[in-house]
Amino acid sequence: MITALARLAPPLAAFLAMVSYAAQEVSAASAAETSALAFYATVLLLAVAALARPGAAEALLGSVLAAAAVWVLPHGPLREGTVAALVVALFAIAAARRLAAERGRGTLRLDVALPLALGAQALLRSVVLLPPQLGDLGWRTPVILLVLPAAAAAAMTAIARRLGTAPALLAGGVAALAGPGWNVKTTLALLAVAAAALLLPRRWLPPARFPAGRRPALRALGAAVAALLVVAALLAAPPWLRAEPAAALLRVPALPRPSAAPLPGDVTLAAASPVWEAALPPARFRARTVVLDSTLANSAPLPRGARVATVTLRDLAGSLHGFPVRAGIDTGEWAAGRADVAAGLRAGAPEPWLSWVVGDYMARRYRARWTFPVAVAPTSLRIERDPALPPEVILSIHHLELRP
Amino acid sequence: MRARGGRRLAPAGTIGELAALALLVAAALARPHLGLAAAEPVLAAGLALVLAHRVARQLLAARPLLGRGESPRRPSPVFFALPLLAYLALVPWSAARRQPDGDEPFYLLITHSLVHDRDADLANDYAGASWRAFMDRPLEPQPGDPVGPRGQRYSRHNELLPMALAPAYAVGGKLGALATMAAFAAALAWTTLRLSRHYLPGRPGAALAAYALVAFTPPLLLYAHQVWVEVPAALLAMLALDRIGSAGGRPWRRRDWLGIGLPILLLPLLKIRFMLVALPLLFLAGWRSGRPRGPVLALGALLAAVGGGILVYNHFHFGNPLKIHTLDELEPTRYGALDYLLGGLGLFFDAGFGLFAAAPLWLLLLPAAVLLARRGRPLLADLAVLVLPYLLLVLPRPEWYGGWSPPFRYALVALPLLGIAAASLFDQRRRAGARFLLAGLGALTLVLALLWIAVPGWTYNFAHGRTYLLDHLGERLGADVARLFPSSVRPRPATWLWPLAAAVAVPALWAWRGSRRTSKLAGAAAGVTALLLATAALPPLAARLPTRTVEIEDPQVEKSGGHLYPELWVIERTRYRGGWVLRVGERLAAPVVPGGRRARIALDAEFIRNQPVPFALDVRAGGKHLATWRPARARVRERLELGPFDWPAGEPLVLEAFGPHPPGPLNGVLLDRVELDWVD
Repeated sequence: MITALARLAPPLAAFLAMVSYAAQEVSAASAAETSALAFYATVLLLAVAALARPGAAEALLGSVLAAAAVWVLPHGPLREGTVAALVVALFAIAAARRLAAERGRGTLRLDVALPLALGAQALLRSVVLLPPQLGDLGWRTPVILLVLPAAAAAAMTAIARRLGTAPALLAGGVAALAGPGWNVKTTLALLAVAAAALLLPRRWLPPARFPAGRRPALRALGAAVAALLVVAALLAAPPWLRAEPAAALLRVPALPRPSAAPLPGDVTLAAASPVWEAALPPARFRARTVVLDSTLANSAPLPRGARVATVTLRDLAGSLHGFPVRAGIDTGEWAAGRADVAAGLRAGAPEPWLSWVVGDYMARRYRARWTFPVAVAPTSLRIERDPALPPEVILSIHHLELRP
Repeated sequence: MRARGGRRLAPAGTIGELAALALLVAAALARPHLGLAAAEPVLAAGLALVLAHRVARQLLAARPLLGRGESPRRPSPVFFALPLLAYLALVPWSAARRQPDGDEPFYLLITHSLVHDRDADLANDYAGASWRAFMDRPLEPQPGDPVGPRGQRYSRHNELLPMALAPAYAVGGKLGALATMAAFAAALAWTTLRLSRHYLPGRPGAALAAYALVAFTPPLLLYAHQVWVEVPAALLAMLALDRIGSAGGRPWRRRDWLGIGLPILLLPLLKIRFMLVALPLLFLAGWRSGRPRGPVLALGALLAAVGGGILVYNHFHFGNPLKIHTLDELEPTRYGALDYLLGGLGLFFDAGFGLFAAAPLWLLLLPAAVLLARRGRPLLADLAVLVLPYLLLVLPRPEWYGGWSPPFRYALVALPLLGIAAASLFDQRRRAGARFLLAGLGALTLVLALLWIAVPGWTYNFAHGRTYLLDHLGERLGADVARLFPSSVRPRPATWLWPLAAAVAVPALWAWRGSRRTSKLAGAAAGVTALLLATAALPPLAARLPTRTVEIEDPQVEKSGGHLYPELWVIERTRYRGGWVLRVGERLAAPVVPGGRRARIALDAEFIRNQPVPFALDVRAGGKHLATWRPARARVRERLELGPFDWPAGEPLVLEAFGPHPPGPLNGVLLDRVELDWVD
């Protein structure tokens, strides 16, 4: 009893530290994010505490680090990304250490499988822990967060009994990756595998064995699935919140090549200040691709595809290379996650690049890419807000990058 | 390390560290792609965490190198290399994020001059902007720096440290100088381990704990890659002390002369105030090493010659034997007991400059002091003899806190002995209370150390009673958070309550043995939980404790205009009470937590007349008018006593200046502070 209390007390105390901070914050948007992060981080810290080896160093230290990150970092994507990366790392460490400690102690038990499945679900379906879904889903929230992972944990335990822990973890990992997390389909699939393992005659099944030391292929496959799960968990976490992290994994670029980011910080283009331009220092490469992160404000009346700005590059030869920034395609309303705003948006909104909590909804940032037919050596860059826009429309540029 | 008898590191841990390192490096490279372009400090903190994990594992693996009985006379070079590598790993980040500050740029400029001009005349270096070699901010001579007959410009700082830095500076510039400082700091850590054998005999585990505490926690972790004379001074003092301990009662050999005499003679050359460390060392040399009259007398004569030489040199070159100081400053009765008390408490408890605020794990010194006092160990006597004369000089002075430096600057010379003192508790580490404190204070120290590494500028607080961290929290919470923490610059109830509470609570908690049922995990978890619960109590306390004093210049006070007084970079800031100048047409609103229904208001203010026109200051509680002050006398500090008034709950205190504003500078008022006395 004392041990259980000792494990769970630090995450709960961290929750209190974060919530009490949120209760006093001056900025309502920041307070909403703090509260959301408190809930999100605590659910995962509790899973880490339950999963951790005796000593629970991950949970103790993780609770302090999570609270510190929430207290110190500014409101927005950086804070959410930091907390998410922290809990993903803590959960991965706790899982790796616990599974390593379980070697030689028989097959996977329910007291290990349950926090593993609960934590994986919270990571891969983290959108359920955040507004607006947290309030909107009603009774489905406990089903998603508790019932489905509990069923998956039971299924993995059953598979482990007949086939060994490694195949059980592998089956669970593949299902979680495909979901993402445990949804009705993946849980039923896992239950079906468990049922088959239990019902089929033993002689039809490979012998149960743990660990997978003598099966290097299986072990390598397990490590690959675990690594993919970690990356998928990050992609599913705020502020990235990819609904299909497995698919998004395929779009993650290779290690970034040299690029230039000429913006000094956020740039706001309004009717009174419609142009931003800068001379570019000579780059070590010729630019082929332009990446732009931006948002619109007060853009409800704009139709889809309306030009909101033009980005123009001048190259060494004096030629101009330009492309339009279009509402609803390349950029969109920052508050499109708010139901009443979304209802009035004529342009709609593209898929968000980043999302972060600002109240009972999420603010959004959008990313657009353009590729030139041939690489250019730009000498200057100009972004001009379209003069035909209604005066109240504001375009904010958060990031602009030139890639080879 | 294994070849020398160290333990093998677990491969799983190494794989984990490599994986974390790879992910962090990938994240650093891909941060624009991830949309987290401003994530550098977070990534730096992550990398520092991986480094801390590695260092902790290496330390545990290196424990067998110290043996089981007496600690080795010459500890393994591993104990020098480990901190050196850790400090060097921090240099690029720290140097890129933080310009040299305080005395640092002047030492670097002298080094630059020694390397490039072969002299200490800085006139051409100031004129030619040689400071560009190591910083972006223009550097000008300090007030009082001597000027030679042919226009030479000398620095008030001595040349010994720059001479030591010059070879590496010649090779690697600023990074070379910083690497040399890292080597000094690593040597100090290694010397601490070596010195431990005199004070912790037969306890190599405790010696390792002392070493780890000194080497890998702030403040040495912060000073290790910066240019301050305090680190080499501490190294010289500890080298001498170690040799004094080894000399025993036998006649001094050449090595003893070198090991004791040289550091003692070099200390005043490093900085004249270290004469007050050299003299006690000389006394200890006589007392602890068998009272060798001849060597001590000879060394005393040499020290007197060095000291006299410095005074004569200063007299002729600076026109003052003490450079910019006066003999009056050495007069102990010039200061009151309160000055000594505030300086002494400030060195340890001050939120901006105190040792405990920089790294709360050092609070273990409190139970250690109880233990050492009860057992009468020689460490306490040596510590007192070595640092008390020096601290008695430093503590009451207005700049006791250091000045444009990280915390605990002036007492850094005592740090190794303090680390050894704290490690005397090592044998009691399995008590429930010990686990509680080690976990709670250790976790907080780790978080703060990561923060200081990630944002190096946050350790350079201004001497105005606040800190960067508390200001950050105050702004986010819109409440006066700073008042909950001790400050010797701006004394307040917390200045006295924290030391009293800590002096009772920390030793009492350490003494808690717990029951058999109290598991290892429970003690540590209770410590971390208590830390987090105390953190949780902070925002409501800041927001609900009745407001008794409003410091107008604080960040939670919203201002429509005006400016700080005195300006932020004023020298000897502790001589001033901070204030805010409010000009005609400007207003400010301070959040007020009522402590009753009615309040008397006392306002310290000074009218600044720039125009011969009327001026008035409205005092309001939100929208409710309370009083109007129409000052008659300019440039006179006045205390206005107003009220009592009914105070509407939730309303801020609003001060608004108004009056005619003809062209030219505006009339205004310097507002110092407002005191609220709740009467009902």
